[in-house]
Formats: sequence, C-alpha cells, structure tokens
Amino acid sequence: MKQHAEQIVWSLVLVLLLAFVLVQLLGLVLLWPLLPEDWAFLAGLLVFWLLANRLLFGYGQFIQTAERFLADVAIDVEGIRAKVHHPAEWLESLALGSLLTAWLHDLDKYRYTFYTAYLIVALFTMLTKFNLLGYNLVGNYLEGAFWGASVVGFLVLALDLTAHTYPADILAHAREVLTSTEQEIAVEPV
Amino acid sequence: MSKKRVWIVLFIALLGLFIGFGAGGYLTANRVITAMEQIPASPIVLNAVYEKEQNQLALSVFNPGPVPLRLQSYSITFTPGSESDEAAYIVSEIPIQLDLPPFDAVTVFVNLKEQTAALAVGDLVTVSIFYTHPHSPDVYSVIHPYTQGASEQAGPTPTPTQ
Repeated sequence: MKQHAEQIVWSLVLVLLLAFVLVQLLGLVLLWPLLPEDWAFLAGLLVFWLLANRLLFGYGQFIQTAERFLADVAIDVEGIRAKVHHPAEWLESLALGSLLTAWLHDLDKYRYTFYTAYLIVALFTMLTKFNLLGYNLVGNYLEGAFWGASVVGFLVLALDLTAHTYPADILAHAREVLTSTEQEIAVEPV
Repeated sequence: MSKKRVWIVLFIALLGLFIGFGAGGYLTANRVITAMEQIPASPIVLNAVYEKEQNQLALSVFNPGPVPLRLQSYSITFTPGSESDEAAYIVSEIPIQLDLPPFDAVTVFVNLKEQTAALAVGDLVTVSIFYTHPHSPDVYSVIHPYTQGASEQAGPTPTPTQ
C-alpha cells in the first residue's frame, strides 16, 4: 500500500515536471521568436547531450541494477556482459558484484571525454568573458553554448556522483552474502 | 540509503540552483537587451555656446539611447531682452540632415538671422530641433531655450515653493 502511494506521488511529480517543461518550451517558441543566443544555448545543449547520452543512460541503468543487486532481485547478467568492452572469458569469470563495478569503470572513458570537452568550452568562455582573446563577436554565443552544456554537465555530474557511491555498498553486500553462504557451508556437513 | 548520497543530493540541488540562475540569467538578459535596443531616446542638449564672430549658437546634442537618430532641421524663435535693439523674429525649418549615432554627441551650429546685431545680455533664443528615428515616420522635436548671459549649467528655473 505504502509502495503504491509512493509510486503515485512520484508519477504525479514527474508528469507535472514534464508538463511544466512543455508549457515553458511552448511559451518560448510561441510568444517570442528565438534569438541567436537562444539558438546557441540549444546548440550547446544538444551537442553535449549527444556526447553525454551514453553516460546518462549508462549511469541510470547502473544505479537501477545496483539497487536490484542490493535488494537481491534477479539481474540480466548477459545484458550487462554485452555492454562491457572486455574479453568475454574474463567477464564470465567475474562474480556479479565485480561485474557491476567493471561496468561502472567501463563508462569512465565517456566520462573523461565529456568533462574534457566541457572544460575546453568553459575555458574559452572565460577567456572571452575576461576579454583575453581580444574583441570578438563569438563570445556571447559561446556563453550560450556554455550554459547549454552546463545543464547537461549538471545531469552527468549528478548521476556520476550518485553512481560512484554504489561500489562500496555492492562490496559490503557481496561480503555479507559470502559470509552467510560460508556459514551455511560450515553448517551443512554436520 | 547511504549518508554520502544525502550529501550528494544537497550538493547537486545547490549546484542546480546556480546553473539555473546562470542559464536563466543569460537567456533573460539577452531578451532584455534585445528589447531595450529597440527603444529610441530623445536627444539631450548638453551645452550651448554663442559664437559672436559667426553670430551662431553651437549646441552639442547627445543621443542617450541605442537607436540612431537623424536631426532633420531646426527653427529659432528670437525674443529680445531689455538691452537689445533687435525686433523679435522667427526663422523656421532650416535643414541640417545630421546623423546622430547611438550614445554619441554631435555639434549643431544654429545660425541666427543674417544681418542682425550680436546677442545682448538677456536675449532669449529658443531652438527647436526636429528629428526622426527608424521605427516611425513621425517627426519629433526637442526645444532648447538659450538666454544670453545666463549660466548654462543652471537648468530650468525652479518653481518657487509656497
């Protein structure tokens, strides 16, 4: 009963948020023609979303899977093995908790690519803001792209930080399971 | 739920506020700037100097707004003071056709009527400058009263308090 109520509240909040964003976007498009700065913002948002797409969904799926692992719910192990770029034999030798951690670390290359690209854009935005590149017309548009990228970077950072809290929990849980299995094994022969 | 995750949620919420503030501020500021750039301002006469040799007034006219203006013509109304021997006269619609760029000043030389004596102390010359701006076909005017011998910095006469 409590779980149902929670789900209803969550769905309501999500629907309200989406409706709010939709109304805002419609207002943006209908009430005022988009300025060049708005286009720069949208371009930055879209380009960095493309760069971050694998990270956003990867971290999201990892967090979901880790929660299932911690709750001892069945996990699609083959699906995870297909996602991680490592030799299949090595992956098959891993315990489930190690496989999850390997999956998390496999996303690091996308993470570093994203943060490097974001830092380059941030650096050039700051250089134009402090007028260190001389007078140029690009500065204001670059700032728009920077803010668009910041919105995506915010989501990536949030999921990144959250996902990286799970390995410790996974390790603790695996150790717990292992200890209880050992006890069972110790008890069985008697 | 680990304690670390609670701190991450708080940190991310704070960061979200900053990024929303930055992005929203950027988009809003550009809209406001675009809107403000459409508003024409009325020119201001910063200073008026009478040049006796040429018998003319040099008005420095400033455009305090972001829309370029075009000064089309001027008219003068001469009202003699008590020390003057001249008769009152009106000269109207002298074309000048001067462009007044945004946030810039130009000097307008206003010629007084030919073959008249130099201005005496107390003479009043009221200069009307007619200008247009690109958003409207209308003609607007700004009127500057110049009194010979009076301090230019004084501004309009204050109304006496009762």
